[in-house]
Amino acid sequence: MATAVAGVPAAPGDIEGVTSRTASLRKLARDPAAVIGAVIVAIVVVCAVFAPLIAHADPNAQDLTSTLVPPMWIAGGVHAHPLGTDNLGRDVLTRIIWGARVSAIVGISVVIIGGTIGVTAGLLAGYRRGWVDAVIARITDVQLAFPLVLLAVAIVAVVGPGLWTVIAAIGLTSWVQYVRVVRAETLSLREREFVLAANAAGATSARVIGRHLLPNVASAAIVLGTFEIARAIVLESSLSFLGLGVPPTTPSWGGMLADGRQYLDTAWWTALFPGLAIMIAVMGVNLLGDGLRDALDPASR
Amino acid sequence: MKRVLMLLFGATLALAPAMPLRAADPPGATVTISQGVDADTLNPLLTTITPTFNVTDQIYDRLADRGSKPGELIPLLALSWKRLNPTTEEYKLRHNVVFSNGDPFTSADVRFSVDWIRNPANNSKQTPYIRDIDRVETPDAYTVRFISKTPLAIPPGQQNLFRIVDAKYFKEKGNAYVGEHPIGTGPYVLREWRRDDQTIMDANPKWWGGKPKVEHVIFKAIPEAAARVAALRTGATDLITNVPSQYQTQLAGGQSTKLVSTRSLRQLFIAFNTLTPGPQQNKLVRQALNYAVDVPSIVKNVLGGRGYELTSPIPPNYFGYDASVPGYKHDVAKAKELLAKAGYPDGKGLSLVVNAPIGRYNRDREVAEAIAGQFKTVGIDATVRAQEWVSYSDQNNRRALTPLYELGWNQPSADADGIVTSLFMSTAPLSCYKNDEVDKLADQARGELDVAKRKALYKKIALVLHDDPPWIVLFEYEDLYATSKRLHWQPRGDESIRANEMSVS
Amino acid sequence: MTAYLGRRAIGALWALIGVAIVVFLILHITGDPAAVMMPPESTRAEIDAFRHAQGFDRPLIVQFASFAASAAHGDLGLSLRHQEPAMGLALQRLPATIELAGCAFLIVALIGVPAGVLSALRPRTWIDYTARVIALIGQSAPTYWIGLMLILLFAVRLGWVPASGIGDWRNLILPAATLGFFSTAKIMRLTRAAMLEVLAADFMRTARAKGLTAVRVSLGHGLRNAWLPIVTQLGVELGTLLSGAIITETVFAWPGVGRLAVQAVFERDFPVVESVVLLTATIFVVLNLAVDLLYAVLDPRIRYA
Repeated sequence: MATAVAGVPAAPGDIEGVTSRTASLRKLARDPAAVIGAVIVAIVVVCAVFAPLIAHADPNAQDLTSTLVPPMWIAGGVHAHPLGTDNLGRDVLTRIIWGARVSAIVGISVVIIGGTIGVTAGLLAGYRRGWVDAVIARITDVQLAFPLVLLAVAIVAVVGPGLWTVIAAIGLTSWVQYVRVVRAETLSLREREFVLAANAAGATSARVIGRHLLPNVASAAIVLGTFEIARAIVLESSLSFLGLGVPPTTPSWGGMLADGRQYLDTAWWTALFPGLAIMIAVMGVNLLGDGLRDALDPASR
Repeated sequence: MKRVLMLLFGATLALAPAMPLRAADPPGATVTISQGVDADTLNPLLTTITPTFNVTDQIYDRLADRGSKPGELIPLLALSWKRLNPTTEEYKLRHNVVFSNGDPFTSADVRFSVDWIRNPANNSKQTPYIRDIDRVETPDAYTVRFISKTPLAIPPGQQNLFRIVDAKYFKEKGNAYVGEHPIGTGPYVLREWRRDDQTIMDANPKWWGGKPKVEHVIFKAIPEAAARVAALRTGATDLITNVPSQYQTQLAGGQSTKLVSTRSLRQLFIAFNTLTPGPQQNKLVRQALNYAVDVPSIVKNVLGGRGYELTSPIPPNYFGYDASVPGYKHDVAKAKELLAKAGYPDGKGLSLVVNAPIGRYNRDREVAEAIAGQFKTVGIDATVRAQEWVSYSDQNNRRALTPLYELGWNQPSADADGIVTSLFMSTAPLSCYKNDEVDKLADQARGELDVAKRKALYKKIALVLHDDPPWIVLFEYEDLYATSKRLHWQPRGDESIRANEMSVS
Repeated sequence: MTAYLGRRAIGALWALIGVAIVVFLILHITGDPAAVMMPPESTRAEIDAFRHAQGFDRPLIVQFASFAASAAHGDLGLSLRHQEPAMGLALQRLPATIELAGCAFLIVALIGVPAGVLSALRPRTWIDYTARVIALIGQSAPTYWIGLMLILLFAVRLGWVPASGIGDWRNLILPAATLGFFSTAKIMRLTRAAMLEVLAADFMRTARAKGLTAVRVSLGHGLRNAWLPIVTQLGVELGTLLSGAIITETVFAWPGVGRLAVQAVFERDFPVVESVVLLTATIFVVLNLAVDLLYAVLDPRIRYA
């Protein structure tokens, strides 16, 4: 793969890509909103990876004698439970920290699944055109017509709840966005000089796609992927809220909210804090995504 | 451009229907009742869901109704009944009863109702209700006989009392229509049903039982517990069901609200799946786990005190209960001793999963979590696997929940027969237990017409179930309702609500 | 133009057929709901009888053939739970969903667009920042959580409006606000971006140079040139609101199509799920077609070959 075909100019995207990406990163670092977003994302990732070290080792540790204890700054609250306890006497803060895991795993896995399928389909459709494009376009039309939330709800309900079902269900609803963007980019790229030259030199389709087209659609896909992470986190929490998410013994923000809504009136903290966690995490990802888009792809504004 | 925007807005406005106008309420007392869900259908022969029955039972009558004592029946459409021979029960029907459309009620309607349930084309889920009825005979317009294949202690048709519909009306209008336009002999007639919103009923002037004190009844479903409580406090509703225990002090001391409760016929238990391999097949382990669980603590901490500890799967408010049957009291030392005897000293090597549904029964998952926590105190590694109801009951039907699973059971007949036949006989689809002696005794009891002998048989069964436990016996619930202060109403143990038993001040 | 429309319509029809196939497969591939539908005391034979009456014991391909044959006539069978025509049940809930989505759409259009314009006209002022922060919250907070917090504050604590259900306008405020929040944020950001782009364009500078007042320039020239993507997006959002009310309807117990869908999914009421999916897909597809058409009519520069 690394050996250049003689006589073919290196794809300008590659070289320019490297330099422009360094510049983009510098631009990103100067955008205060994007920096805030990056810091939030970093905090969520740290919580997810080091949950057992930051919080109690067992997020399911229950104490039926101290259920629904309010946050510590409210009368009746204790320092041992800064954000209070839930209906089983479990520590809300501990479960929020552990809950970052599910959101992080779902967000990343969904982007990998959806991105892989979507980018591949988009590249193929745009590069091959003809019947490949037509088939992919038909499947895309079906997917776009399907109510997404309902599709995910139906898949999880029928297959049975669980982390991987949720990831698969959301992943299978997220690929379609990439196809649209990547296909459009590819259609314009394939007429560009360096691609035509590679074709003329007899490079295989796989090589043209992998070496010349993929690097040039990467920016757009990365920006889109960021927003898809945000969407996946919200959708996962919605599924958990409907009782169709990860098993309740795995702490997740949506699941905590689902438990907490029964106690909305008497113990609002069980519903407020997990929701804030989702909102802040998603906001972080969105801010980072906005920044990335401005930095990598200024034309799309 | 402006024109286009206007067009767009105009189109939206046109699409949105006009705000519903509130019709002026007719005179007479109105009571609003809020359950968690709306009725599925207003055809009373179709489903087996309690909230649906609570709506349709205002409109439809049965031959008889449950009394407050186990086995007691109160005449409704039937005035009297007697056993003609071991397999035949004869009912004399009330005369001069009419359906709200004027059709007279006769024995043909009773027979039609049974046939309708039985006809596979109607897709009724009530087929288990009439399974004991082999034939229906109608010697005259006011006599009905139910005939069973074998002698049965509980007469055919009384295991689960079905509702009586108007044969002529059903045949004329068809299934889809009658599902939305009910015509019954009951105390109320339907004014309007707006699905998933509200069902409005007015007193039936033709009801044989006289005029109900409450003239208008509205069922307004409110799914969220917090929203139900809020609706009661603001006066938007008069009666709410399934009050979470954390609201009890607030509602009991409320300015316009009060709490009413009753001991339920519903018990919650943890069953052992003895059909799949595992430590739960060992009798000693099952006994030990019964000792390991501290039921009074669960009732106090998880149910907020709203429950009654049980000693046997046949509870005191059921026919067949015998106070001399021993139970398991919480005893950690005894549990550890039995575990050691079974080969699990200090619980080592025992790793158990407690399956539980989410939101099916009051505090279902919390109870399972508490029990898993108590297992840990005798050294057993225990985790809870909780799932939403549909996938849970699907696995339950395939007997795939193992080694331990939580279930609730409510037998409106308040007779041990229902519990033993459905849950312990090895032929029952829900049973994950096999004990030849229980099978034999249960079969005998089902056909035993002598009350004293039948009672003795259930005592024997209870003793076997104590020695070779199929469950960890837990508790019966106390059903919590809250009402506005103006409403006078006593709840019943079978979770049903009758507006004609209410009055307002 | 007509040829283009015809092509799009055929494409839409194909998409709907695809949706029907996918939803059938997803539902039927994992078994049937007979056991779940019957009461717990049922015997194996009673459950099997119900299964047979529903035709669930036939091979999948036969079930699909009969589903396809009746679906072609718009008949999706009887609801397993209600024993009434499934499509009828779905259509019965449509007015409530349209009422909710229509109100949410008014919020989106009447708040989102003006806020976006204002934000673009006064960039880097407190108006701009406030609007942008609210938009960011709207795009980040999960719908159901917004709904719960609104219920907690306005229904449970303050008691100003009912917490759930349908009724008069007071019942409509919270769910419409909840449903519209995300789209409002989106429209606001889009409007702001479109306006900023136009304001920076050459002809705007010319207009200003001609001495026209700032407000006239911005609204007269600016909005006129920025409104095409906004109107298009508004159309897309209306489709999203109509088909995306599932969670809002569940939280507020709003008796619409989305709530029916969730109930049906939970109860494995296959014909109802199929009906709702096809109904919402049809609405979505038709609205998108309408948006394309609108776009073509509004923008004379676009020519469809």
